[in-house]
Amino acid sequence: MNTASTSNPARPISSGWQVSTGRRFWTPYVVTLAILVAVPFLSNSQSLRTFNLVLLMALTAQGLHIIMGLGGMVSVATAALLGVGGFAAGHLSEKMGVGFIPATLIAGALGMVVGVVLALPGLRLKHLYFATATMAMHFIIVFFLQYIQNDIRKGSPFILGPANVGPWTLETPLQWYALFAVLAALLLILTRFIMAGRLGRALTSIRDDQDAAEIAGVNTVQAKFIAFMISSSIIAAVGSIRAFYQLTSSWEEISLELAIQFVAIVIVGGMRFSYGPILGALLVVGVPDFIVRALEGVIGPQLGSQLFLIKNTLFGALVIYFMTLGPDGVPGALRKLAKALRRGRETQQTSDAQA
Amino acid sequence: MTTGLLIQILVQTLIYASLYSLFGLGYVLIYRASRVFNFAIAEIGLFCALLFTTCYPIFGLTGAIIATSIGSVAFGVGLYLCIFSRLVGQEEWSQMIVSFALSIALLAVCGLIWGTGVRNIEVPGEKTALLQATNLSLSVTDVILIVSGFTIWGGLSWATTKSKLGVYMRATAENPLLAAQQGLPVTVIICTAWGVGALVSGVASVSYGIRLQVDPSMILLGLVAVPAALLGGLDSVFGKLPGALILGAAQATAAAFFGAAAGDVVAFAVLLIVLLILPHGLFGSKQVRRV
Repeated sequence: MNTASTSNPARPISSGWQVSTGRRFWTPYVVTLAILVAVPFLSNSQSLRTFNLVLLMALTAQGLHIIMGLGGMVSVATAALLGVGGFAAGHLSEKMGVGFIPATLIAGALGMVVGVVLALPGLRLKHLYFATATMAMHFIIVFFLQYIQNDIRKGSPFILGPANVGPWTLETPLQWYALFAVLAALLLILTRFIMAGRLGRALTSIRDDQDAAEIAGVNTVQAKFIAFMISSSIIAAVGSIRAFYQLTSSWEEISLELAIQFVAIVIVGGMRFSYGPILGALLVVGVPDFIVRALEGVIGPQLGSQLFLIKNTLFGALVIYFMTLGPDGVPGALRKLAKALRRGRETQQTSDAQA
Repeated sequence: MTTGLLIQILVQTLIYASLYSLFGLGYVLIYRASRVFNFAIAEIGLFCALLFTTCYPIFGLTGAIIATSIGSVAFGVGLYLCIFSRLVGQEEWSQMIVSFALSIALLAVCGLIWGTGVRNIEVPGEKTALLQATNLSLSVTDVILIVSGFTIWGGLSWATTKSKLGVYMRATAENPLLAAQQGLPVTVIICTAWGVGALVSGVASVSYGIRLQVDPSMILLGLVAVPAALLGGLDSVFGKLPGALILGAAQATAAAFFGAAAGDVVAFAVLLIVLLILPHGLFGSKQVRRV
């Protein structure tokens, strides 16, 4: 019998989020970075736009990942936070002529404040109840955004100025891609640091069992507040970047569907993996977008508004399919597959040896 | 405050409460039997209403009601068998995410089949007013909606607490393995809950569609019903109507004074406050956890 490999005490039971050393630990990061660098050489400006969309979604999901992937708190207030950041940037850029970088920093700071409010229900509620509370937050925030745009601004969306970074202005998809890729790499490193540090350990202990974490002396209140503040300020800053990228900011694009997409991205990419959001965004946002574009190329432009519907159908179907693979998303399923293959090989070897 | 305004708020409260309690029953039945909080209830309702708009010109009113009922039950059962039965044993939130994804896909599929435009259901006599005053009207449809909402709520509260099926349902939700070992047809029980859940949300959507119109924005109605479902307690069938009445009253009052958009926001604000004070709602059972 070959049970030694599973019951070996030296081997951690769930090694997904634990800091492991060695060559295999780096593989996903090297692959992710290599893909990020390789993309612009392999794509035209059309597919680069898709990659920009994927990266924007991934950046936002990376923010959500801090409370959801590490802390296990499913929040659907992400889209509303994007809206807060976008509106803040819109106001700063349009009314006061504030530049790209300061506006984004201020939006991030504002997001941090909203994050404190978001953390309040998170202190008391768990799982489904917390998710529903964030849904309530979503609708309340969107109501205010709607009020600002429709009543104060008489229906006109914010129009943003050019995005200046130092002496350069970000204009072409390639320039934006460069910014997004750098930010994605930075956020990946930040997430990795948080995961390996005290905050990450506190959050994972909260995710696995909050009561046990409290008994073990983890300051859950502090950990949750800090996590929400970091997460929300990242998301709001991305909201500002997104607004500058699109040149407009309006409440109409802030929907519950968008918020759900981020949750799905984090899950499909694997909640326990810091590179999960990038992988998830590529799978559930990138793949449908490419399929729809290919379809448009084959059938022609008469599809029109159907394309959006086809994309959403594909998105839903993909997420449902990936969820049936297991709770650890695609990386979890791949690891399971690899483990099964390895075990199969080991059994093969032992039976050979016995023979 | 004038009497007219008061009556208007009262009528609106009753209408909204019936709709919310119907949707809420959809959420709670499915949750009680299979521990899935199915956010796609609103889209299932939209599907039923669109099915009704297709069936009505072909089969007439009675035929369309029968066809839509069969269709919605089959749809609910099909969703469970095709998707959610594969997720048994996964955590509650991961099933919730699937229902989120399902809601996005269903909305898109409905748009692909029926288009995203507005569809009207013209039933003769639907607009016959029983009560008419300035900015107040109570039509036959409204009365049927209120009566059916209250009746279905009463019937299901009885069925889930007193009847054998209700006991079986509770046993299945508490411990599916033990229930199966006792010889209960677990899959049949869960399928029944999904079928009835889809049916009641279909009733809510179709009657709302007859009252006003059928279009994709209808799903907001099902989403605002989430606060109502949680207000009454997530696992309490009985709590649905009291919860819906409180929410409907808050919403109708806010809508009367500040406009319709404020009404929806007030619903969610009420939810937030209730969750912070009473996380298990008014009639929900507290879950005891051991470390």
